[in-house]
Amino acid sequence: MQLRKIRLSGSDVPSAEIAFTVGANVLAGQSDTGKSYLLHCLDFILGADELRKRIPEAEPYSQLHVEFQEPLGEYLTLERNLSGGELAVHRCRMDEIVEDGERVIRSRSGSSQAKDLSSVLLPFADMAGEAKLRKNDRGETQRLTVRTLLPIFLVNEIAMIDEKSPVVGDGTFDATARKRMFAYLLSGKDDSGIIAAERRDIIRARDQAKLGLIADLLEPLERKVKSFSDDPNDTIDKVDNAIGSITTELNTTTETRTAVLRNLQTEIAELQRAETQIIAIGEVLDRYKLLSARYKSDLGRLDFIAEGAHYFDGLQEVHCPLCDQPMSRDHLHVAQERSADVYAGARAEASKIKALSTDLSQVIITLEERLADWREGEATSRNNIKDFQERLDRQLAPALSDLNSRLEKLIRRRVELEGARNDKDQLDNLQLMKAEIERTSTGKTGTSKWEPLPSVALRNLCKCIEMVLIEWQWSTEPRVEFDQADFDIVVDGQSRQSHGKGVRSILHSAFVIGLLRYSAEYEKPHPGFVVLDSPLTSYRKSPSVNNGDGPIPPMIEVGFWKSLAEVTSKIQVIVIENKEPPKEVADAVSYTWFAGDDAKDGERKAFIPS
Amino acid sequence: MSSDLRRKSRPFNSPLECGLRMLFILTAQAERFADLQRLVNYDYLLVHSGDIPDGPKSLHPDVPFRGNELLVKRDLVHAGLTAMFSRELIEKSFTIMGIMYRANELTLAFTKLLCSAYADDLRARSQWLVERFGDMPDHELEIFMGANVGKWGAEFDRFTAARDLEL
Repeated sequence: MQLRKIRLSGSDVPSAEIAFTVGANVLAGQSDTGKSYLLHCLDFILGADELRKRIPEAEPYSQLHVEFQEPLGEYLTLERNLSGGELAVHRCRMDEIVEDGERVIRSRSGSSQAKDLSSVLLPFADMAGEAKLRKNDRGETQRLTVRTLLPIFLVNEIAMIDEKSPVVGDGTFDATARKRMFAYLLSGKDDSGIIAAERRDIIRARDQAKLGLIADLLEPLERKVKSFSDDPNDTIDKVDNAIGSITTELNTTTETRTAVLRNLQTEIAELQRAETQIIAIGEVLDRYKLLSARYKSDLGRLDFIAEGAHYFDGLQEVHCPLCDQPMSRDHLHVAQERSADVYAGARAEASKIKALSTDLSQVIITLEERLADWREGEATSRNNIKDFQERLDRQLAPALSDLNSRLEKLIRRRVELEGARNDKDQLDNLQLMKAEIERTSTGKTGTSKWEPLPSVALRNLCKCIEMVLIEWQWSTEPRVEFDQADFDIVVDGQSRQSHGKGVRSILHSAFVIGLLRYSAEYEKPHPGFVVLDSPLTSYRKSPSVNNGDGPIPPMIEVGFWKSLAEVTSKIQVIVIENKEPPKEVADAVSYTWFAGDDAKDGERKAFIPS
Repeated sequence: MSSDLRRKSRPFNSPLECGLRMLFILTAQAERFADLQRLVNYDYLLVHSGDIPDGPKSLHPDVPFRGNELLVKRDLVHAGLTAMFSRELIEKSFTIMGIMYRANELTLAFTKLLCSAYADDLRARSQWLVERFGDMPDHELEIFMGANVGKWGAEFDRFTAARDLEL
């Protein structure tokens, strides 16, 4: 993109107009002929808030048009009212304007997608319309705008001699973005891929929230831990030992109890056996005694029968009262036995029964002895059972319940201690966490490391600047480096700002022109033209503290002019200068002269015709 | 015949023994008559007096299921009475109540001759028997005996523990 024409117009006044061609353009003239005003006009059309310089001559004018052309030949004209406001874009030459043009705002804000100057002009200059630049260390980005680019193609007479970086200039709030803009021009890569870190205040707020939460958690924990006076670890070991010994004791007691219970069961079985035997013997004895009673009663009866039979025989037999026959032995109605036989039988029977009775008594005695033995065994078993039960009830059961309750107490204590230890651990963790948050949030959060400027590209740029300086006869072998701290060039080991105004101005010009040439040669983004105000004439009104501001060596001035004559048509360099160029240069470039009040006939007096 | 022989070899429960017991019972109730059924009942009660509450100790052992004795005594008692009657030791009358038996003058005299311990026991128990049941009408006595015949001696049915005896 190159600058073609600037025009001021107003009603009832002839338009003020100046045109530029490809390659080098020199606009020389006396003071107060509107040269610097043109620069302000450019600044204004490129989106400045207001026209910073007002000259009385310009008061009748109301409208500013600036025409640009891209290398392929298409035109674009910007229009803006001198009093301010937004812009209109005409995609045609200035003289071909017929309509109102497309309205664009100077600069959109936030996430708005509205068309603004940058989104129109940058694509026109073959640059990415939505290039992103990192604007801070956190990695947040902003758009590349015309305003950011301004210092590298529009250099006014104050900036020219300024000690500040030609890239960053006096831009303090957007220094990073300007540095990144420079990196973009060097490499052609923007910062779109960068993922922003979180904002410091958000981090701080989050840390505060975390700290608050931790404090809330810490407070009850600290109280709990403080209320626990013992050293938890020590006591846990002690409690564990106590639990171990009680468990052993409990096991022993339980084993004893099991043994006693087993004995008790055996004894109960023994008792039941004895009882069964006692009952059984008792029953058998009952039978034997019954038998014995029978023997006794039988003997009585035998006595009785024998006696009865004896007397009965003595009685006379009578005749049967029914049939009146003697009731003889054969008589149906008589007893079968003869009483005498009964008497003898009874005696024999009695002796047998006596023998049986004697035997039975012996058996009964034996049985009764055995019964006594069993009764003794029963009593022993009962005593043993009583002893075992007493041992269980009085000794083992209380011991077991005592041990169990002690164990339970110890386990409760163990759980408590475990809890205390956990509390302590948690407390330690929280305190560590708290300390970590406090450490990271009070100190500077680790600033992200950002890639330095691309070194090869930087080297190539420095070579281009070296070429410029060689042309300008600075020396035959100038050595140009780029100081990334000052963001300025260092020539032959000496920084730009350490030179006087004149040299600073020359080096500033060399930097800007070198950058333009670099872009053309390596096909990197650039607006395509530069405008330099007073590169050779030190700004007279600037109260410089530097004393070494001697005039620019004449040799360099000669070289400067000469090199302008050799500027290729691929680029456009516009030099605004007080000094007139040598004749051969003026002939070789597009040259305009504002003669001022001393203008001779045919000479143009100033930018604005009077 | 063999059963006859065996009965001869054992003098117990012979008509003679039973008849002699009848003499003591009839002596004890003096002038009163008694029929065969009453005398059958009396014969049981006389030797098993212990089965009656507050009765004297039984003269015969308390063998199991002795109640059944009552059911088989009728013939024996009848034979006993006949044997005694053949020596005129009792009086036998045919009345509207049936055949009734009663002591006569010989009865008391004869029983006085018998003086073994067993005979003394029979005398004492006969006295108790008549005092206890003498005034009870025939049918009431029947009911009383019928109600108890199954009970007497039935306590022996749980004679089981002897099986566990270790010999």
